[in-house]
Amino acid sequence: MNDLQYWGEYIEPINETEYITTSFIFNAIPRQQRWLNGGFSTDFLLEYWDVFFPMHTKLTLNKKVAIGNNIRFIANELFENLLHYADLTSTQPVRFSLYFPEDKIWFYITNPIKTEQVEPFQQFIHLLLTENVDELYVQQVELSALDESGETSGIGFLTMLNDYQAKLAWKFETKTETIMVTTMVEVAR
Amino acid sequence: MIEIKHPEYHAHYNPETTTIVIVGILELKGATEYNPLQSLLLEVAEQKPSLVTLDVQNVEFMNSSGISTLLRFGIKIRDLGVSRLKILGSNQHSWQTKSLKNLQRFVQNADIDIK
Repeated sequence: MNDLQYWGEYIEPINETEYITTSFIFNAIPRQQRWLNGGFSTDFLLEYWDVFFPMHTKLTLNKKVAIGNNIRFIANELFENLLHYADLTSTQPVRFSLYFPEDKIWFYITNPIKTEQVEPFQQFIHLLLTENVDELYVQQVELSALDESGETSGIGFLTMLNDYQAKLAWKFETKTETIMVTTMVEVAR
Repeated sequence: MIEIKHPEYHAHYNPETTTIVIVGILELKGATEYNPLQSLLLEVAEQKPSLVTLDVQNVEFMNSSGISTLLRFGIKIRDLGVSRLKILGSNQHSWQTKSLKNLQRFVQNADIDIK
């Protein structure tokens, strides 16, 4: 793999834009599943958004709640994706950032990925970026209904695209023998 | 009455009104953790009542795995071809206004009432 690869319309975040970043080393977190499940991090982000961005007080309460719910949904899906796509044994930190440029919200999550997972993940990304997302969504859900395990492959990304009109992009980079992938999600505010 | 009591959500089916009510926050992880809810929903579908009402008005939040669970229930109803499906939702919770409409992609004649 080249040292740097982009998929979709990836935008490097602008540091001047108001933002929040959190990072952690996955394998250092005890009872990781409960931690993720408890929505700890998404609750934290929600409170942060609500308390620390006074310029958004002009927004109506309903609008604020709706934005908060969108942040919660997308952050929740991105964290859950870590379990599918991240190398959870790596000592490289996972980094999650939220930016609020103009009338948008940008989400970035950077995580280490196992070398053997890069290709299947990129094949899936290719599908997401080139296929009709509506049809792909229906197809994946219909397939899952036939599958005993009930797992719906990629449904998190497909729901973001379909229901939240999100834009998705990715950056893959090699850092001291570890491949790091950043997923970028853009939604309207 | 079939019932699930989970720390984050409750679900029950009332056979007299043929209504399934789900209440709470559903951010469980993957299909495995949704198994109890999926089983409840499929069990109701297999009873083939003429009308099934799914009331999710008080589900504050649902992640994509939860939404898939509801969609698979819709597919079951469609495939059995007996019951009509009615969904009761609330526009107070944005996941409902954004995602409940997807049920109509699978169950064309589903009646979705979001207030």
